[in-house]
Amino acid sequence: MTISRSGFITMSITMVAILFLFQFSNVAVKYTTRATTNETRKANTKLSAAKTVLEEHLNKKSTYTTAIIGDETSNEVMIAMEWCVYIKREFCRFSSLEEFDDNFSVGCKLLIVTDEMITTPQHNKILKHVADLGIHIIMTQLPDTNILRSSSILRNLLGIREISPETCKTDGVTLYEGFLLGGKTNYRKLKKTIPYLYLKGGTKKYMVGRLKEQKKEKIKNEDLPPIIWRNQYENSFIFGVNWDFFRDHTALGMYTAMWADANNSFIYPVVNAQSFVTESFPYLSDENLGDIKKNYYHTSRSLSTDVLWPDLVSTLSNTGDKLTGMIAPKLEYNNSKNGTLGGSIDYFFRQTEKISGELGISGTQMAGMPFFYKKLEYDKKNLKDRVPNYAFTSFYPGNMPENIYSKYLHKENTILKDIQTLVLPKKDYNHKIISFYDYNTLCLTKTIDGFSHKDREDLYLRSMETALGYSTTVIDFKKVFYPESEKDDWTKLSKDLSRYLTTHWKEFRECFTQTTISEADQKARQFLTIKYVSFRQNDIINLSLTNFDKEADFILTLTNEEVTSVEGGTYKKIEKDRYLITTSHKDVVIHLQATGATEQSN
Amino acid sequence: MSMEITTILEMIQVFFAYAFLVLLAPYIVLKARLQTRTLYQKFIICVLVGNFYMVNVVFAMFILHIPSRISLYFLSIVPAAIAWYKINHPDVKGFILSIYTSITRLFLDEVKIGTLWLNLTTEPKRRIKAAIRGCASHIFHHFLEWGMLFGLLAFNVYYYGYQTFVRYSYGTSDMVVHHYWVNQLAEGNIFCNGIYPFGFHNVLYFIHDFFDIQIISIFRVFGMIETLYIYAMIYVLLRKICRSRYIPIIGVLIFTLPNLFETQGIMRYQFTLPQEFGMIFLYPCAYFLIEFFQRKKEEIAIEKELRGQSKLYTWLALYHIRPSTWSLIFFAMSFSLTLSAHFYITIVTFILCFAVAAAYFPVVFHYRYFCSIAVAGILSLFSAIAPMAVFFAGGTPLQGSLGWALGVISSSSEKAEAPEQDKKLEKYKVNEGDGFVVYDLTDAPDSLLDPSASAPPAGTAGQTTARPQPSLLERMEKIANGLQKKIVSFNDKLTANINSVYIQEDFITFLLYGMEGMIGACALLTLIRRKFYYRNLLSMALYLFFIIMLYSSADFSLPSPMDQNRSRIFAAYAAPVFCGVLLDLGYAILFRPLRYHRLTEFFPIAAGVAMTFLIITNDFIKPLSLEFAIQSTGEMYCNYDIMKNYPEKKWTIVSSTDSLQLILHKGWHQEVCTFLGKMHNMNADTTVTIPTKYVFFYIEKYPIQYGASNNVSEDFLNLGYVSEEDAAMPAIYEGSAAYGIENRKTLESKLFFWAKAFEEKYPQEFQVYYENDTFICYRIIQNEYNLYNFAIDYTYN
Repeated sequence: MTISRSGFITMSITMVAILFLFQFSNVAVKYTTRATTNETRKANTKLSAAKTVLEEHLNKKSTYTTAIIGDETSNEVMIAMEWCVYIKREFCRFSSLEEFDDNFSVGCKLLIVTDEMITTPQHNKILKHVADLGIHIIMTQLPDTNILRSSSILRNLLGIREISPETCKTDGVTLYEGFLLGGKTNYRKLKKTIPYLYLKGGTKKYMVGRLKEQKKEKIKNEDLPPIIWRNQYENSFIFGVNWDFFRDHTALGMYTAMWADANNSFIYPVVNAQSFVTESFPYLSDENLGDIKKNYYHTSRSLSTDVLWPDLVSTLSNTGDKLTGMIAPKLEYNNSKNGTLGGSIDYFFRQTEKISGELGISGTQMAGMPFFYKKLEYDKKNLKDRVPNYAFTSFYPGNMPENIYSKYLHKENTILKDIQTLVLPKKDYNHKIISFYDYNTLCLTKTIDGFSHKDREDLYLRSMETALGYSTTVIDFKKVFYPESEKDDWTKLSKDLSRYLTTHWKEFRECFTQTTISEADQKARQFLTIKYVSFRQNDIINLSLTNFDKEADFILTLTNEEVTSVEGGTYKKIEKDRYLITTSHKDVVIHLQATGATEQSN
Repeated sequence: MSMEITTILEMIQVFFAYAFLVLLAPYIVLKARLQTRTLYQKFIICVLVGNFYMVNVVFAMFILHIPSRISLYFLSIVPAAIAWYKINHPDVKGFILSIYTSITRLFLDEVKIGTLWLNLTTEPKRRIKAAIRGCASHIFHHFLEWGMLFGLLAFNVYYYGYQTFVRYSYGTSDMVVHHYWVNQLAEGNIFCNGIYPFGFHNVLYFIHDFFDIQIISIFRVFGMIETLYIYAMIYVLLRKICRSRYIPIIGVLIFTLPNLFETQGIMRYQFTLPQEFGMIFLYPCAYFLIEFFQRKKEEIAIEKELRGQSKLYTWLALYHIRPSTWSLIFFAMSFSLTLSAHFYITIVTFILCFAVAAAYFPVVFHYRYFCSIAVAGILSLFSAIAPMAVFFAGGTPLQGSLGWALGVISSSSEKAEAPEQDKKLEKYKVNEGDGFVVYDLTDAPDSLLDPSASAPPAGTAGQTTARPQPSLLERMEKIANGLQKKIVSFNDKLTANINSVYIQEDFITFLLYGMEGMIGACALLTLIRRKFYYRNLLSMALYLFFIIMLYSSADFSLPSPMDQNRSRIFAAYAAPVFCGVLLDLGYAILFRPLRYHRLTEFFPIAAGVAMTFLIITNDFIKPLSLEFAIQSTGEMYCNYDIMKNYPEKKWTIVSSTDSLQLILHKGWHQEVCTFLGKMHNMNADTTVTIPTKYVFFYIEKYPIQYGASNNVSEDFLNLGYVSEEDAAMPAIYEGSAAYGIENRKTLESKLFFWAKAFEEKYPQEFQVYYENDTFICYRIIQNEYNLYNFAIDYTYN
């Protein structure tokens, strides 16, 4: 068979065109990639600390709506004040109930009092008087049982019918649905010896202790020892807590839940950000080959690119999480043998761009204190050579002390020049969850360790989600590259991570928005900046915002009602009687209707 | 969806369900047998067969101890299908063969699917079109009849459905008991409270289980639906008897529109009750008994003729089952159904059959008639009593009200007083023997024997006066006067009695004198013309007479097997039939020379239209009926709403007792007295919990005056708004005294203030679910693992 000339030319052109089409996309990706420039960096310096509503703006001596009784150094007091800042309530701290009584504000709606502030009969009378006025009271911890036994006023306020002479050791606790986000949960590992109280009718329990001998002694659920409850007294609610939850930030969500329960409807701002951070990953070197090869039959580099990265991306794609990777160019800065691999830099930057992730810088290193300065220099040099246009805006200090990185923040010619967000571990109880490190730099606190899920951690997470709609999950890859035991094997760790993401934390990922750290930073700044006023008229809630910029998120809690429409925003049901309202306008109108209630006829 | 729309949909749903079971399905099965019958004959046969079948299928299911939906479907569909096959002889084989051939041709590509579809659907389409054409043609040709009948039935739908439509709730407390029994049937227990005629309950259970319609829906609307059939039976019986086609409609009109009857005599038709259900089968007994006599007479004549022609074998081969036997079978069915439904209906059926028998004297005693009727009667009794006897033999006792009814019957016969005359003669008794008494009346005054005679003047006692013997004419005149006086006195006594049945005096006069005149005239005409037509008219007049005497039995010292409140209903129901036959007698006499040409129907039509016109223009339409205050409208509304919107068995209502059976299979119930009683004199340890997720509290802000009757267009009578004074009163929490009227107000007041106090403790959780002027329902949603303690101090406990 012969081919004519024109036929040959036609076939050739067709083949070239097909080749071009197939290769064009790859070539285009290579030349149009912006992996080496940080596209997620936002110019957010306009939302600096000066524009946010912080503690000093809300601390009002005469017009406060929330009174906090306690010592200023007390964790409970600091966390209470932090909560007031988050929900924009004007507050005032008093050292004693007497001082509060002398400086009473007519606008006061809530009284938070620590247990050590209730010691004398006079205190009890003040509390009774406050309750008579219709002011809700939260007791962050029960007073001593001797005080309770001796004071019928206190017992009446708390709705305590009887106090058992013996204490009881709980065999776990049950958190009932409707209090914190996440529904009903049994915590088997939360065990503590607490006073055994019996409550009167008219009380409502949110959390109770479980008893091992419940079935044997035929104890009804209603008679289990209460841990968190509410009693109605005259026109107010008194909340009692028979545990030490309020000594850490677990209290944040509980404050929100209690205040929501005391009101028919309650709307409050939230961050609405779920972040996922990998510490010391991407890892750009090839160290500790001995252990890595022994465990995984890979080099560190190939382990990173061929095992860890695909596993991680696959896990995150199931849950829709966005990755913020804190780069570790090296970990052993005392060993110059293995340097940062250029191929790894190219690879991870491109891969991160593909999954719409973000890269920050990690402060962790294995060599010890003197090498932190060397690390910063080394990282700057290597990364600047390879990705000169990439501005690192987020930084995870890891084991780098603050006195070191604080000197380099925002300094020219340093790797930390452009840092806007610090992701800090949960260290001290007085360390705020979201706060400003300096004028421009925002601190976000890690809320979960991605490889761990204990009962107390779960409760803490639920509290954060309830109070702020915020979580930052951090997984530390240092233990993968430098395993200390069999528990640090990646197979086990990835299985745990996948399990936690797709079960225990799944609900929150579905409710709230997945973000990178930069996006979470934006939302957190907006959260701290915004001011709002809401009022309800029949079935309509009006919400007016100031300092509003494009978008803000709120959680609306109702009781047996549902949202039918929102003007000036959108809504999403996150749980029964709880809605996430995303506003796009500074004036929002929310329409409600009762669930299941029939029309009323005249 | 509003309750009004729900009620209308339920009416339509239950109407068509019942119509399917008692009209369409029997018609399909018996089609071949019914071809020669007229429409109204088909109607009455289908109704009887359908109801009889349903009643006995349910009995069979329970006797075999297999009560379930599947066995109901099996026992109802399979025998019906077999009967359909046997009766109609459809060409099933041919049908299957045609399907097979069509499919084969399709696969062989000989026909397209369109052609195949056309072939298969041609015959069904033809039949449907023929049926529609037939219906349309029938309606067209009898447009006036259909129009008038439908108009009257539509008015009855409005009249008897008004209470359900507006008030929602059951109108009488008996319905709750019967609802309970049907609930028990649904749970597999028959005769849960003892042996009782269960035909009515079987039918309702059948409808519920077959179509999966809620029992509460059926109970609310079935009263109106069965009333349509009750009224239709008046028309059917009159069509059988009357020569005119339109006089039966006048009979229905008389019972429908004008205000002639005491409300108590017609109010029960709006309620779903077994006695009223049984009334559907009352007139069919007379219908088929009359038809039996007619057909038997024809058969005897035919037999005589054929025997005369020596064609005995022709006679023997003429019928597979004789038409008169069919009539007796249907008579037996309807008699059996009356016994299955309610014993009172059976008593009245006896009276009706006795009236027919009396009118057919001495024909009825001819052995050819009597033996057949006797056998039919025994078989019908057997078929009705047999299921009850089986369960009775199994140890199920009789139900309490049967004992009560027997007591009423026996005590009424004991109470029959000696005639007044005998009392006066007592002092003249000299001897008393076995069956005789001897009196010495020498010194007795004349007035003792002749009350019209005056007592002798004072001073003349003991004197005898010689009187001359009266002539024959004088004696006859005296007898006539005496008879007239007796009749007038009798009628006056009756009038005084039955004016609590027929409220218009003119109507009573018309009835009594018409009845007496008709009895005399028909008896005479029967002797003269020997037509069964006049016997039929006579039977209805006698029936009315017997029913009126039943109602007035106490005043005439007769045995009274039935309470007057019940016999009043039958007396009212007998009047339209009598009026119809009376009018037809006049029609028959007047238009006999014209051979009842169809143009003569103009006069009955005109009479009907004129009557309607006069009734409407003179505002003589009967006022809306009465009902008893049983439940508030809000309570029924909430029952429906909760059953529809909340998952089964996940909710409890705390309310008065009447809602218990209504929501039985859907949710839980706690009585108000039980709930409040638990926290009466409470201490710190008192706990009152209800272990369901949703709890509803029904509170009557205006507690209804339970059992009080008032017009359906007015609100229920109530005891006044709940108050603190009433809440402070001591209440009774258990025993029958807890259900007293005053205690009801106290309990509702206490519950009202309990709710207010509880709402303060749980302002977000304890919400108003529904509220109107007289009723409020609260709802609380609980954590089932940690229930609320409802025991709180609300001041009045």
